[in-house]
Amino acid sequence: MSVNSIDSESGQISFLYKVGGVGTEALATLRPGDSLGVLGPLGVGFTIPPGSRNALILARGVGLATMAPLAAALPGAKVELTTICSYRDRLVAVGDQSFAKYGSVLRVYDTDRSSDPERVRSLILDRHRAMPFDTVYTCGSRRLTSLIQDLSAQLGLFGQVAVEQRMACGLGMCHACVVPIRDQGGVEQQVRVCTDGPVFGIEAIV
Amino acid sequence: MTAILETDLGGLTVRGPIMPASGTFSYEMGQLIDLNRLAAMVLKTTTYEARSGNLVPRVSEVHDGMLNSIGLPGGGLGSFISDVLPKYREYTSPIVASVSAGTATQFAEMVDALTQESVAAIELNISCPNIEEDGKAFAMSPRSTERVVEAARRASHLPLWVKLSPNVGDIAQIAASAESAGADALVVANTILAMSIDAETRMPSLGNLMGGLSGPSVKPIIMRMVYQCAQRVSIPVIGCGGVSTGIDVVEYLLAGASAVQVGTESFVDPLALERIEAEFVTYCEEHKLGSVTDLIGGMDDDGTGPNYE
Repeated sequence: MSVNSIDSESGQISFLYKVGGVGTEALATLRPGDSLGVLGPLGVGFTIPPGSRNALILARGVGLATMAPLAAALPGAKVELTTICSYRDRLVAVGDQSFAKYGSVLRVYDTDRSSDPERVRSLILDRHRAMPFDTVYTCGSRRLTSLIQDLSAQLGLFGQVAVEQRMACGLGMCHACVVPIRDQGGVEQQVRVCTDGPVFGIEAIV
Repeated sequence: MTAILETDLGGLTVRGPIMPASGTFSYEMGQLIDLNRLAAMVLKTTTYEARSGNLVPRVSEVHDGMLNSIGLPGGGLGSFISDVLPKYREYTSPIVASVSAGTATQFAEMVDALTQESVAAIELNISCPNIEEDGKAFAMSPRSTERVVEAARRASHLPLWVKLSPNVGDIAQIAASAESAGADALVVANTILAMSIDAETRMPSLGNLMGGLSGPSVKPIIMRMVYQCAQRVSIPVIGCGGVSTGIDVVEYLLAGASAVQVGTESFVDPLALERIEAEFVTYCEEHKLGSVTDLIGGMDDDGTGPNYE
């Protein structure tokens, strides 16, 4: 589940979730007008670094939902945006129309192998040669995260990744939702996705 | 009429019978509720040495409860004293430090190091099912319970609460061992060793395969254990198992508990500690109770009590 849009004018936010258990099943029974308690905002979100001019979002499947509010925030910060959406097949390629409002959109698929990390790498490098990226964000795929980690180190880009992990408290108390990251000294640490993340520097991800 | 909520927990009198359970509470909850109003701040267990914890997934939802296998991650005793404990000194509620170690000697060393002015009581976690393979713990035998509690007793004058394991045949026997070895109160109980499997992936729901079951589903089992322990020992028993409403608190007190700890419900409703206390106070008002102590052990098991009709 992820925040999918934020409209501060109307005071509305929307969520996109996949029904996968008791909680999401219960959410799916809600009708317009029902009320729902929400705890938040929690954790650490994306950063748009000052001076950023040209950003790439590379996301896969449900990870795209996470990226929608970030994409919407980029034009206000005067950042050009290219979004690469990775999908299993064309049938599931829904819900990415909003990205087109904020920049150019490219779609890659498993079915025609255009989503292979090496082909995505070439796609990004081609774009980068035409107009260099300075910032890159990713979510939704371990393989694409590795690719982005590699490219951001190679090209000297500011990069961030949003990760997920099964949670219990959401407040940093229970230490259920940990992921390993490398700290600045290169030492591996277990950190909490709910409080220390869910967004981490791409260089820190193990 | 406002009932007196104070209850005595083995030499520590707390302002009410409801407190968080170890591992489900930390100062981060202070963003939501007033920590100075808690009966006690029972901290996450610190271990003798640093531990990184168990493999993910560390939690899994089941019917009316959850499984966890967190594995007591933390920086160990030294970092607990230098980095963790000071964060709680800012609050006025009594601090209950929870400790776990691999040997009785290490337990004693930890208890000794934590016997300091800012600590009000020490909970001996001799029952975490997620440390040893197959959920083994000191609290599974009367002998090893005695060894740990005796060693800890010699190391400190602070109230010692001993957290028992429900993964035993005769919990009252373990309770008696803990009492005779010098425990000031018992916490009944830790989580029930359990497992679940995902039928689609065919994988265990937890990275550690087995974990501890908690939440409303364990309440009747732990209720029975609280009753058996309270019948057997004369030190206070603190009930810990599936408390999610003020009425659950009443039930545990009637079974013989002097207080309860709330764990899993704080994950469902982060304001649970405050809500449960409000519900409990409402019950006390509706039943015109003068003091919480009127409820403790007050189960009417022969149909002759004041509410028998």
